Amino acid sequence: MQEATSARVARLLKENGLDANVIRGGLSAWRKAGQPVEAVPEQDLLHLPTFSRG
Amino acid sequence: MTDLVEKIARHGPALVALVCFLEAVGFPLPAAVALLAAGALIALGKMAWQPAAAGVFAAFVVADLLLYSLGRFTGWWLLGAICRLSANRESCILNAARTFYKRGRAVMLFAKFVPGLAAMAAPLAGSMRMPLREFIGLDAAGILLYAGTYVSIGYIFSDMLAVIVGALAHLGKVAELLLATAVILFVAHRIWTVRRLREADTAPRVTVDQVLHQLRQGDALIADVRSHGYYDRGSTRIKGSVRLEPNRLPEALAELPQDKKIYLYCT
Repeated sequence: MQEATSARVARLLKENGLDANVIRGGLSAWRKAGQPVEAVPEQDLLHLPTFSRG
Repeated sequence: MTDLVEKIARHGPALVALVCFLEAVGFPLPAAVALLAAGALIALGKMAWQPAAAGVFAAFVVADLLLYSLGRFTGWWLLGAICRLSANRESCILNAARTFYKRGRAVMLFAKFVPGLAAMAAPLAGSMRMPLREFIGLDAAGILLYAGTYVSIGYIFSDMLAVIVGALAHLGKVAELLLATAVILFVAHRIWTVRRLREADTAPRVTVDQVLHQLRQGDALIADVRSHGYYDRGSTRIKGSVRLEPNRLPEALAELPQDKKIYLYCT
């Protein structure tokens, strides 16, 4: 299903009174439109469990 | 399966090793039968145990190291790909990672006894960066346990090989039937899940141009809700967007502005 995560999150945000929308085509559409991107910041990463970080 | 036993009698340890290698990398081949046959042939003096043991061990180790490296190289992408089958990919990834983190070592020991699991355990260990030395130790123990069990049974019951192989063939047919039933149930469940998600999907879609227009008005926020494996080290995101972690929505809700339009995006 297309944009499944965005749609699920949008529904939850709307249920909490927020004005949530889904960008059709996501990041690919944004890139295709020639709009700027940036590197994902390290502090935003959720560190899932691992046996070793090495 | 009796064909395989006859071929093993003709071609010896090389064929046993080849079958083990192919099964280890995911091909649906009966390595257990090859190992049983090897055990029986060793007992009958028709196969030397040293080249058989070395070949089987090397075949499994090489195959498992290849899969481990694949997992290590692809990182969370692999888990993300597997979890595409799930209705909620984000929680699938998180739960699978946590479960494997807790039980991965035991899984590595016994995975070879479960068809399909063996081909998953090694790449998962790589994805989750199990230290190579620990992986090799656990893998070697798992190989000795698996190969040792079947070769020993073949050795002890060498005069009953035909009966054992016949029983395995029968079990194989039962397993095929169970597998086919499981696939049908899975597909039905998947169709039902997708239909349910579609019915629940009432979120408005907007184009990039509409978002840009709203950004110029100054009352828009773009949030990245991609899954792990996509939102990861080295990847990029829309410039100026914020991270909205799909597994931490209740906590994130309080931080989101009530007076702005929020635009969500995945890949």
